[in-house]
Amino acid sequence: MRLRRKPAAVLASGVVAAMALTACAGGDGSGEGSANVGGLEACVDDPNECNTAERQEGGELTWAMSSGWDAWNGNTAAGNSLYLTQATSGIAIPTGNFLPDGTWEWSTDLLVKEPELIEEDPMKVRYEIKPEAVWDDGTPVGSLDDFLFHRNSLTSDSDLCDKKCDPAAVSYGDNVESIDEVDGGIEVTYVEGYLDPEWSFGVPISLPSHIATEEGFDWQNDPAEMGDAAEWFNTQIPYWSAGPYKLDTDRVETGVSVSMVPNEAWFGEIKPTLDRINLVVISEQPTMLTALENGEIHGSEPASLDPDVAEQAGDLSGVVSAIGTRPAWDHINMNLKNEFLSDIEVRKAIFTAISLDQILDATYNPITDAEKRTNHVFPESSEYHEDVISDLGQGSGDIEAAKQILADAGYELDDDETLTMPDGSDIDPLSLVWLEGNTMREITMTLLQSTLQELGIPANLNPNAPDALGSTLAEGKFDIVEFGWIGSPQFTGAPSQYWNSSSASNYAGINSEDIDKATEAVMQTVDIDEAGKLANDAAKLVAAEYAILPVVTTPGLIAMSEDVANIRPNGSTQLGPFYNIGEWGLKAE
Amino acid sequence: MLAYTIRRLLIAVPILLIASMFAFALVEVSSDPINTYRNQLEQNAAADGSGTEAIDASVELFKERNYYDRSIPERYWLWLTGIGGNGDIGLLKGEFGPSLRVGYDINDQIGKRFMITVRLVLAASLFAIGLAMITGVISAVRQYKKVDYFLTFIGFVALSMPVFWLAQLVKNAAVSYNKATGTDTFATYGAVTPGDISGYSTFEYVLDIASHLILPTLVLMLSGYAAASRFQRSAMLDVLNSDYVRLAKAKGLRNRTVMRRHALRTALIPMATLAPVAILASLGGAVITETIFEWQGLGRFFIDALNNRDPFAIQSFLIVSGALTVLGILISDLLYGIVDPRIRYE
Repeated sequence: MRLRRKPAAVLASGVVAAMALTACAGGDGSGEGSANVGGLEACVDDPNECNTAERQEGGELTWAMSSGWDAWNGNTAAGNSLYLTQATSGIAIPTGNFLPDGTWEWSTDLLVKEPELIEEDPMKVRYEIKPEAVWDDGTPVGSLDDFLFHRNSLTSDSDLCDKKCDPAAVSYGDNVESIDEVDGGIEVTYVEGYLDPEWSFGVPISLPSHIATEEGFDWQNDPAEMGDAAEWFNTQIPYWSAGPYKLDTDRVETGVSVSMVPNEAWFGEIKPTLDRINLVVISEQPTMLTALENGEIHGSEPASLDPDVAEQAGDLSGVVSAIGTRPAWDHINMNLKNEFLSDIEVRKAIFTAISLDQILDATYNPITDAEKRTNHVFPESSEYHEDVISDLGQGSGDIEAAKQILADAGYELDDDETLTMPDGSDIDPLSLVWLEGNTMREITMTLLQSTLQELGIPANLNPNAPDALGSTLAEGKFDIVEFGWIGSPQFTGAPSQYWNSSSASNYAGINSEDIDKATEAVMQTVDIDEAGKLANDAAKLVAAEYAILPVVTTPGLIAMSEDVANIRPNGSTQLGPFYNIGEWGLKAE
Repeated sequence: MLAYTIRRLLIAVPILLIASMFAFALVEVSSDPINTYRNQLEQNAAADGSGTEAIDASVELFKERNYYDRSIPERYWLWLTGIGGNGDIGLLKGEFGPSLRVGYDINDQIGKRFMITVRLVLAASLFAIGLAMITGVISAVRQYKKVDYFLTFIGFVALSMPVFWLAQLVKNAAVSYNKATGTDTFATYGAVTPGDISGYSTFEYVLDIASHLILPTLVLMLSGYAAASRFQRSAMLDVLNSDYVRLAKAKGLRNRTVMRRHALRTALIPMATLAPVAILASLGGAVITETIFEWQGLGRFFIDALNNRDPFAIQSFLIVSGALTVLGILISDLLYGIVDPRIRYE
């Protein structure tokens, strides 16, 4: 809140003087090998409670988001966006959270007790909603209609919703057989044979069905009206809330900013203390940093890690910062359709020659102790993590061993130290692709080019513009690519998406019956621990294919004023620090 | 004059028509939103459970919404006239077309953002032109003196300095000033303070606007003023070396009178005609300035449209810019006739 105002009479001289000072000022030139972030060290050992503090009553907090959103209905493909989820985190139904340490916390605000699996075949899950849980207009949250509306939003069944629903996902809605109200609870019965190991995460409700009804949509009986309702939710700024805050709709600009005030009907245990939270989009990191230094915002968690920004954040007085993990990981992906790379001995040699330590030393390690990724599904922080690549020598940087593998496979170096095929023919240069502008991946691929050169394999660097990378991947116009996957503790869909031969995201072109079966098996259980074991089994099979090499769990920066309480990094979920927005506050004096 | 104006306006129609063809063609060949959208859906299919039928249905809906179910010539005609559309397209009807971003109303956005950009561009242009006039005249009058060299140096520095760097320098300076004085005089992002400003008095509101306006205006002004300053210096030198000024001096008029009454008035004529074009140039500069300062104006609209590869949004910006350019040049030509009595439009 900008309140103090002084006459601008001295502006000109002040600006000139300050410009001169700025131009003369230099950094501290520490260059000690790590970004000088600090103030949130406690988050390493105590990720769930760090930066906890007593909150003062009142105050206004402004937080910068990295990007905007286009539409308001996250159930649609058009509206499904991480940034919408963040922007509406204060008004969303509290259905549970992944805590920073990766554990799931079911919502004691919303539910009487944990969701219960009451039948396994067919799968039937029961939810008991607290009677005091209400939307801000007093209507109960989690009515049968709320469950039905959510199901209808996320299905490809044209008898429930026409094409205007444009669902973001249908794996839930298409597999629901029925939803019934039984003894004061809601029971969701799934179709025969469908199993979901992640049934206990969350509650399948999202939007207020009663608002759709009030707005005149006969969504229960007419699929076209259900589609109209979905479209309406996309364009309507939410004036409803089931969270600790509600939107001040007069101060909302779609994709640009939202302003929230406390929801007086909030039923949760922890009440909001702030008078107002403003979320503003500041996409340029230097702009964000200047605004933070100037006291215009209280903090931000930029989408990507800019080493310069991280370094400068540490220099700001009154600002605490940390570099932690994000629910994302980078990997090197081979294209098995390339004739040369289709030989597993070649892939084995390349993955043996690549030094993950060297890559990390050249990229993230100067800034932070980044996690060398050794599992395609689980980070080290996960209880299911197993190292699936080291025993295979992947990422070891053993050039001599790699050369021996190639020699054993019949490849020879000619007089120019260039590798030739076993039949004596030349090898076409490999195309190394990454997202243009991503400095870390550029360094990685440059190192890879150098490694390949040591093996005698020619390679060209081909960075791709953001709009081109998607089609490059989809159409297989690469030989080796580095890109990232965003994940979450909800892992069971990932193996199929990454590696199943029927998946369009299987960019490596892995085609193995064993892997197909292994990826499908991950979702053929209701036991999450068993699913974790099955996911590791699948990852081991994939590692043995030498097609995908995990590189790093991507780190990210969070920087905020030391005056804020209870905001902390959360690398377990894409929501990040927004997971506990109701607890945000300004520290009491 | 009226006949000339009407004639020029009529000539502007085919010019804008050709501009619209270029804008449409350039956007058409540089993006493939259908393929991109399909790729996205297919990539997510395994995770979200969508089958081929669901993907096809989504793509069809996407095509239909954005008129990609029509041929390219049809789509151009539709964009131009709106005939056969759903009421959300047709430049002649004042509709810029649908956005790929559901819920994003291009008409509404351009309407809202136009005034934000105008505020920035007008303020920057007025200051830039005013400063250019003063420094240009001083440089000319004091040609090859220290002050001329100094102003020339400043001009070239401003001309050659990258806008993003200049902006960061200005912002850092402003933050230092705020800290040194314990005020929040300067805001470094946005056009207005977020949150509830309903309690502000008119004076506080104006101050809030000003605190957000000063820095981007300064950056846009500095990057625009240098060229105008050199232009003004050159014009003033031409006049100072003309026969009638020498005659005035030879007649014994005081130097100040010669400068004020004879030289300056004439030397300002080229600047008056340059002003509309300078404003248009500032509009171009606003694209970068608005991005750096997170102003949600037309410049930012264009950057967002490019980032989203949003065809009708990109075309809208291009056609609006084209129309403003045609209008600016027309105003410039008309001003020339007004301020220079030797020019007559017949």
